[in-house]
Amino acid sequence: MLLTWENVTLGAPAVLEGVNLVLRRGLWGVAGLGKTTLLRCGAALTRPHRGRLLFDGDDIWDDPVAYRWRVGYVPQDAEELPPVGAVQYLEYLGALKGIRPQYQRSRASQMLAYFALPDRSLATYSAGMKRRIAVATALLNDPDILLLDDPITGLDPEERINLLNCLTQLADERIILLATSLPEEADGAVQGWVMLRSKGAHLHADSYRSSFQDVSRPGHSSGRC
Amino acid sequence: MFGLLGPNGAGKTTLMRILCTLLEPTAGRIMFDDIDRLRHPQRVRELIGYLPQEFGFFKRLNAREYLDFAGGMKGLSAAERRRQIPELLERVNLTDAARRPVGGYSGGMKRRLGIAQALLGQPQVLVVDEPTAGLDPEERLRLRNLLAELSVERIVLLSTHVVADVESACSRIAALDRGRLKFVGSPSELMKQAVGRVWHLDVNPEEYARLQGRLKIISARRTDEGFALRVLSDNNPLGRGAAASATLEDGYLCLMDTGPAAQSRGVPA
Repeated sequence: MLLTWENVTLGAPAVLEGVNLVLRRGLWGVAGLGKTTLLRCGAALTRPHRGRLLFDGDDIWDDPVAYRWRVGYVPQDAEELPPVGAVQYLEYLGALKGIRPQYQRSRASQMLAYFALPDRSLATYSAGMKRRIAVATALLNDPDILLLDDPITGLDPEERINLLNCLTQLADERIILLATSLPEEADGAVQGWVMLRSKGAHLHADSYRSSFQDVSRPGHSSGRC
Repeated sequence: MFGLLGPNGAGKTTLMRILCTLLEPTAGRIMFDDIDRLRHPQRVRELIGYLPQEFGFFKRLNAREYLDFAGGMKGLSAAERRRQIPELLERVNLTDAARRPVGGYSGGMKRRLGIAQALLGQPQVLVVDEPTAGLDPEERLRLRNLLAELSVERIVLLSTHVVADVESACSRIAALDRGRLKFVGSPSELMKQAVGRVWHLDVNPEEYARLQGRLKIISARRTDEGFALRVLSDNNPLGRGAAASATLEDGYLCLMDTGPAAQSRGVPA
């Protein structure tokens, strides 16, 4: 399972410029400028002006609809939830994501159990619960790629630890990109960092602190992990 | 600078709203020097500058116009506003952007403008509710430094989820939990709660599955062989943990100790 970015450039002036990355399964942090744009490209929501994105060798824009079925995406402002029960909500979204009717309820209950969420009205959910159910939603149809835009901002330490521990496990089976403005808080969980800079991106299979020091050195323009 | 920590729903914002006279307490007393908050709320308002968590701006006004409006609402005279606004813009490093509409500002710039707004009228107490949420690391550092500077001449009360925010700048910290004060003291006293209880531990996937729900796992990173864990435990976990140095956040987690997360095992396939 490989997600490959070939010279991806987007925006004028460029938000992403010449991004070259090869990502295998695992939990990867994304920090720096242009995080949301990078994730939107990865979710096939925004098409790069130049360059290509390949999933297992196929250009995702050859058949973006098929690709999107394999992606779970949690945008930054995922807090707006309808005041309905949690199982009902996940069943509904499961239906939209093509889960067959006979499996919708069990899948919804399974996701709630995994994320230790109660089945009650979403209006009563705390900030941490809302983030977890947003991730649960993205996982309903078992995607190969999970893209999370700043899911830990606004969580207290306990909630953040719970969410990151869930993601560490989930990353065994898929590629997870976790964009964050709190890199040091996610450092203990991610296997490496995609550091976005004004030109390109740098991938480091190391802690945030070491990565931060590394990018100042010349000669890093791409990464493979 | 005084830091206020606590999980979501602990009552940090409620406490701040009571201090700022936006909410009436059911019982108790608050004194600002010899001024009683309950009996003289208007006098207290004159002493306090408040930056709430959610903060609305008029997007088409520029920073100068916005501060002029906010100063007028606070009852400052036109002459006083003319004097204070350029100073405040300089202070929060927005002088160059002062003529641009606020709608185009970054998150960090908006927070800094919010702080300038709270500083109008030269309050002796500055109350800021989660000012660093959503800011990137550089902006967060800049904001922390600004607050530290401001705390030289006044009391700054800062609430946050991010323990690192209070670590460098706050001389004293309070931790709230479900409406009750659980801790008041210095950062080093809070950190001491975790000394000798933090461990590094490498485990294989089976052990990791077994340990979940039994150990307090602070972080878990996938490695080639299994998982590299950082855990909180009174005893050496599995007898082969390596003692790790405690951080302020570890101290906070020990204080709030809720035990291992009630997360079920097994990944949904």
